[in-house]
Amino acid sequence: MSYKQTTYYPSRGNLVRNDSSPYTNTISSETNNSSTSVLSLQGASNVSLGTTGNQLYMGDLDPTWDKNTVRQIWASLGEANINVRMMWNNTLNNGSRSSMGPKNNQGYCFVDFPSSTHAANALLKNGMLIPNFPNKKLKLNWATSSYSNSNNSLNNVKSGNNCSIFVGDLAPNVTESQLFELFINRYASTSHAKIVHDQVTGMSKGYGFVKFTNSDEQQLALSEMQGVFLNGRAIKVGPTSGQQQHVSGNNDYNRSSSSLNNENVDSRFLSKGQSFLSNGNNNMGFKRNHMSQFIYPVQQQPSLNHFTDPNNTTVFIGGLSSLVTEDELRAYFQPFGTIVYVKIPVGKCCGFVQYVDRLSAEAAIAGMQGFPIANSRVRLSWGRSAKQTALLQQAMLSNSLQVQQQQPGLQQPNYGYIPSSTCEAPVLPDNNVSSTMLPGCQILNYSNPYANANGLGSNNFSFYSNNNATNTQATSLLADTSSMDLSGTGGQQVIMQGSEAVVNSTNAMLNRLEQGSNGFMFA
Amino acid sequence: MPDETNFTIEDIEPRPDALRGLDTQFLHDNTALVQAYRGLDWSDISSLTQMVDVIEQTVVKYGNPNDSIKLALETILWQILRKYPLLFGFWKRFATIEYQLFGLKKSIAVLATSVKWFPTSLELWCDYLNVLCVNNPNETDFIRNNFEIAKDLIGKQFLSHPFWDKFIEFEVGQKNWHNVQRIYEYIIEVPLHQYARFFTSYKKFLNEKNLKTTRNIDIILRKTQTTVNEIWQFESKIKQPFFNLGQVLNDDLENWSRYLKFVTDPSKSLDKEFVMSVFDRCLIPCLYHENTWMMYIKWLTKKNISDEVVVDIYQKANTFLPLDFKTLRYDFLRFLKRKYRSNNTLFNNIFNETVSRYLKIWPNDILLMTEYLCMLKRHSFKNSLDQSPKEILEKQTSFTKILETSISNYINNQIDAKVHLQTLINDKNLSIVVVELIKTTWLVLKNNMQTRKYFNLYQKNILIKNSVPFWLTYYKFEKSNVNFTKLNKFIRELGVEIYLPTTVMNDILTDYKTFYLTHSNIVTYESSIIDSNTFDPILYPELKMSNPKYDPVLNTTANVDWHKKTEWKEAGHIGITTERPQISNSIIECNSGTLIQKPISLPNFRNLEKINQVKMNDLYTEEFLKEGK
Repeated sequence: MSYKQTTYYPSRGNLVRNDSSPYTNTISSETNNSSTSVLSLQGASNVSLGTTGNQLYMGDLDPTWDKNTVRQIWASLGEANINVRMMWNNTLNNGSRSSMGPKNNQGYCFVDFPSSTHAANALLKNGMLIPNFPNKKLKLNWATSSYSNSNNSLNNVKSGNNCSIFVGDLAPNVTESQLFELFINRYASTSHAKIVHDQVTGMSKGYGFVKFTNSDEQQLALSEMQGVFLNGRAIKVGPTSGQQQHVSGNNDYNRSSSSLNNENVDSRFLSKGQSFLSNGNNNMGFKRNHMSQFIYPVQQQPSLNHFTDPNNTTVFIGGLSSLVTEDELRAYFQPFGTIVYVKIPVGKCCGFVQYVDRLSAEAAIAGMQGFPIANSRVRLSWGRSAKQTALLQQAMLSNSLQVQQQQPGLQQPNYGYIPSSTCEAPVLPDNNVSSTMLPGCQILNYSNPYANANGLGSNNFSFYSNNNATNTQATSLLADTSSMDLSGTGGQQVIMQGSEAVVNSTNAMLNRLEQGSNGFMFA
Repeated sequence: MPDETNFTIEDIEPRPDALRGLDTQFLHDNTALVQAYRGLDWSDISSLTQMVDVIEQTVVKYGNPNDSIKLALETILWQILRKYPLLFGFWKRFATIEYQLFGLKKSIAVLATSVKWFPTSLELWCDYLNVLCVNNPNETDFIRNNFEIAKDLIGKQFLSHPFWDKFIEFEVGQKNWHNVQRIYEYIIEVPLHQYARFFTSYKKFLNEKNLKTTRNIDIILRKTQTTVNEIWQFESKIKQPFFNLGQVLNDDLENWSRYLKFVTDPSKSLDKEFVMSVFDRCLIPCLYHENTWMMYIKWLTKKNISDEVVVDIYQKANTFLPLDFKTLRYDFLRFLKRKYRSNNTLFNNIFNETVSRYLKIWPNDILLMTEYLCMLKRHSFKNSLDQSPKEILEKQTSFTKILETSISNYINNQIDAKVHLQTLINDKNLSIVVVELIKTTWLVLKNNMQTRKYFNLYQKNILIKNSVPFWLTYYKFEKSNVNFTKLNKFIRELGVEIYLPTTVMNDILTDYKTFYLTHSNIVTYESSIIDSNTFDPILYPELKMSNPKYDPVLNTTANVDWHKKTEWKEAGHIGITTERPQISNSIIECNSGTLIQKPISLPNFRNLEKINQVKMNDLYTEEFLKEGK
């Protein structure tokens, strides 16, 4: 029930799409008069078609308004018998900021009128100054717009009813409603979310599907939702089967349109930015149009393999001379940490070293990369444990490796938009200043964009939540680098811990020096 | 007769492919034979058995095939038995096949060879002696001689009564009553399975021939009876007394282990030869068990059995044990070194042969060269107190000469096959010879000049350049000279020009820190700082610890291209590189005065398009998995 109404959610579409949407056109146009006429015409046609009900969209609300305020406004306009459905900010997905502050609406609501005639009459008041609220104008539209209707029919022609996307890498505790919330907050046309459960255990299988009524938003979600965090885990999105072709084509379309959009916005910003600001039109869809100053990239979560697995401790050594024995190799890799095993497969000119912990393996790769062992420079990379290797080789024998490697296809590079805060206020916020000092760690703090989409400027330093992935990565980069610095001296620290250990290791060292010079090394 | 029996199947050339050169029609007609041979699984007894089955069928089919087919068939059998001489059943079948193909003489030759290759086999000896008695009854001396040989080898085996029956029967046939009595006197002390029967027949024999014995037979009988009863608990549990491929049953192993413990128990003081025969029998099924061999040798050494026997057992173990068993083989070298004094020439020869053999198996074991050089010096360049200093010096100088010639010959690829040392040198152990040369020059001849020359000469060689013994000797040498200039240079070149294992480098660096602090002084320290502003002998070793590629010279010049460094691109995610976006018009380091005149331009980014181009140099998949396909 609730998401049926949210189909009114202002589209996040760019200009190209906006052109085809009378509704968004209206709010981005400058003269209220002309927009009203367009709207009323549109409304009339809708009425005549009998597709509209008695519900109106009401936008441009003050964030502090609640149901009663809206009721009072309409009562003062002569429509006392109405039902108001406010759109509140979703407290689930919001950061701490919103939960601390007063409860805010999302800047719009839906108003039910006793009949469609009442509604049509009310719509005529679009653009009127609201009594008792100076500087506030009524902003109205049909709740069932021709926009979605026509587009729906278009969609049906274009791709049938299949406007679903695949969502993978879900945390086990993600519920269908959480998944739905995540998408409905970004894509108004989200209609359904389904998580696949194991029939026997009833546990989530970690993937699901989200259905949209609007194929544009489906495509947008495909490109924007990659790596967004949900319950602490970066989700993965992909087209459902049979959509591959469709997606690639649309991606091109998206890219070209976004770059087009960008140019448009730049010029518009220069000429009209001022009027936008004074206009005070803080509607979200509107804001979307002028906030992009430059393309801001969204970094994807790489797929999980032996390179990205944080638990992988096996180092692969390529370009190894055939003269090197396992004991010698161990002598090269020992100081980086405790070794589980050293293995040199026969006749492959390579070797494997597995460490107990990750830091040792990282230090070994960093420290030994390109180091010559027996006159041959070794090339290091991440390997897989002997067990996994055996499984893989078995798989290769049965030619099933290709199947295994077919993970959901990587997306084209995706681009999001940096929010307008920098445009509205030329002074960089504090966070940005500090982050420019740390190259590569642009944003260390972020807030959910929809927490403050009202755009009142109280906390308008907001980013797309797609940046979540980037941000957390940046922080983890910091953590990793600092821990790597430690690992270099790790061996030393261990030695310092107990006097017995010091004596033992010193003895071992002296023995090695003595025996080594006598040719007893590796005996 | 002796001429024919001297022929052994060892004369058959062990060709790698027995079927080569055979008539194509024959090969076409005998696909079973070809298939069995081509698909022969050397580790599977049923595959080998099938091979012999097919050979037998072929022999039956053709009766008297042509010579090349005959040769092919016996070559196959010979190949199998060379590898597994303990498969006595195959020897028997081989003898039958040879009888069908070539006749009696060659069949006997096979049996003669079989007891040579498998001398502790009761069955083969019985067969061989039986065949000799039946077919050459006139060759009494030859047959008796063989009986005597067999007596020593298998006569003490618990189940050897068929052999003794045969021997007695033979001597009875010869009417050599003296010998018969001698045999009985021998038997009654042996704990045989059928000891009682032999006692009875001996008593009967004494009565019949009216002979007297000097000993009290009944006492001996009781003693033998006790022993037999004691060992019966072990003998009765032996499930597999013969050799087979694959694992020996655990029960059997435990039983053998208990049995051997029992017979080697010093308190039992059993007959040595009997104990040896138990070991011999145990080593038939347990041929590939190093521990048993070691136990045998340990016992032999403790009992002061002659060195020849011990060496023989060592050599046998050397032949049969799989190549990855090192303990016994290195133990052999220690044994030879220990025994060297008792027979210089003999043990030196065996030692040299053994080292040669081991170096072929394990060319990477540089310890072998160290041992060899020790022995070489001990044997060919030994000094004693009665020699004059001049003589001693001459000996040592000639030793270095030999070493130097060998090294240069090896490097110039002009190996003199007549000099044993030169045949032993390989890429891996060359550095050991060099180190030996340097050490003798430095520590024995006390020639520091020459030592330094050697260091300079050999460190350029590619085989020496990364040698741990060589550089550790160098480090020691310069330490003994307290030459900080050289030492500093050495420490700095570690990991940059001298590539040693990280462990060794860490050891040197740790040691050098201490050495520098204890042996240097402020003047030396300051002068070394002045010499090069990038090298601090106190701090530097600390920085290079576990960081083998550390090079301060590189680090100072790389500042401009910091964003091209792997560390930056990886950003702590080792192995994964990305080109991260950077602000190209950063106002950092700009003249802040100009910032007032016009507003700061918005940041421009570079590398934005590369944000998702994650590079993973996946050598594991490329070089290992794909190569392995």
